[in-house]
Amino acid sequence: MKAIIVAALVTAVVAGAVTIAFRWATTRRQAAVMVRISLGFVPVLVLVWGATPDDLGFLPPTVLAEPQWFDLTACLFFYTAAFCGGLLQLYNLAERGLSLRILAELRSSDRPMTVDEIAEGYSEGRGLAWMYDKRLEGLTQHGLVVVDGEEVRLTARGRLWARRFARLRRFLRVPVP
Amino acid sequence: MGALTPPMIAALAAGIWFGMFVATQWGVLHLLSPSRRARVLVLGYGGCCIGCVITIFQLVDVTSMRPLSFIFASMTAGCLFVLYAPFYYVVTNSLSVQSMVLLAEGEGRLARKDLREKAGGHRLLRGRLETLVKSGYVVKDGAAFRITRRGRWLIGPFLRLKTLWKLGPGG
Repeated sequence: MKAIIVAALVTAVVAGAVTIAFRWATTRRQAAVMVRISLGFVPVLVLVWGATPDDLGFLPPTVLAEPQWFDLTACLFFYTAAFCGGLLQLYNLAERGLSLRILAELRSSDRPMTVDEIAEGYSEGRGLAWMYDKRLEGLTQHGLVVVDGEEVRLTARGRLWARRFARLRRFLRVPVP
Repeated sequence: MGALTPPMIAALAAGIWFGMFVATQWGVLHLLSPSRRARVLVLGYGGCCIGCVITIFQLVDVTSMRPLSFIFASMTAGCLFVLYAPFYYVVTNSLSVQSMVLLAEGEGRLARKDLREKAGGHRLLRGRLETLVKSGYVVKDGAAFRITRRGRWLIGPFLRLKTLWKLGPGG
């Protein structure tokens, strides 16, 4: 249980640190900031785990996991999952989620909206084209595509990843976009 | 059981059952290609959890250690799921991945306008709206769409988080 409690507490502190960073520092690369904060807290997690008693002063013996290395490994795994699958995903959904943005548009409107109205008003009037350009910008920043005037090209790295994804999608029978 | 302690057995059982869930999910999607893909994910994961509980009941014979074993198994299975689900949805739903696949199919290059229309145009929006209607978050109102109470309930916490983190409209 110590692994779970320590991982949960440190994740809560990371969430607090992320909130402070987002509210008081303006940056475009917010996901990278989150990852840096999370990595910075890994030594803190290990220190807290090592410096506290096995029973944390209140846990009964039946909920103490042994051996010690297993408890620490579990603690690191729970922390990683809480950050990558929890905090980081929350950020991704809130910042980039297409379906959530559609819901936000519909919620802010006092009447039903057509597809054209949603596309036009998307992201407080930026429009659907803006959303797609933002995705292209992300792919460019990661060196996966090059935008050359009105043409978009895959880089060698992009081609490699595109083939991998295409194989996976074919295997999973994902409908062709 | 050798050197394996009950929490280790529980974590191991959860890991093995999770592996079986992923293999089954991929197998079902490949062989049957069902239209309700999310249901395969949820049912498969539910089956994995039931199997894990039964396994722990059989392998952990010290009654006093069973609660800890269940806690470790649920944590392991839950953590594996929250790590796996985003990966699965990136492969199947991500706009960026779809764009890369479209580019690869177009011999590595496409006109920006065509790519935007194929991957990020009105068709995409209609597809997402259909999914939201199926899930009960949105209803059709003639040619338009309206958010349901369930949809408001879903979006509320995200809007509060966006305000807290000063994220702006995003999307």
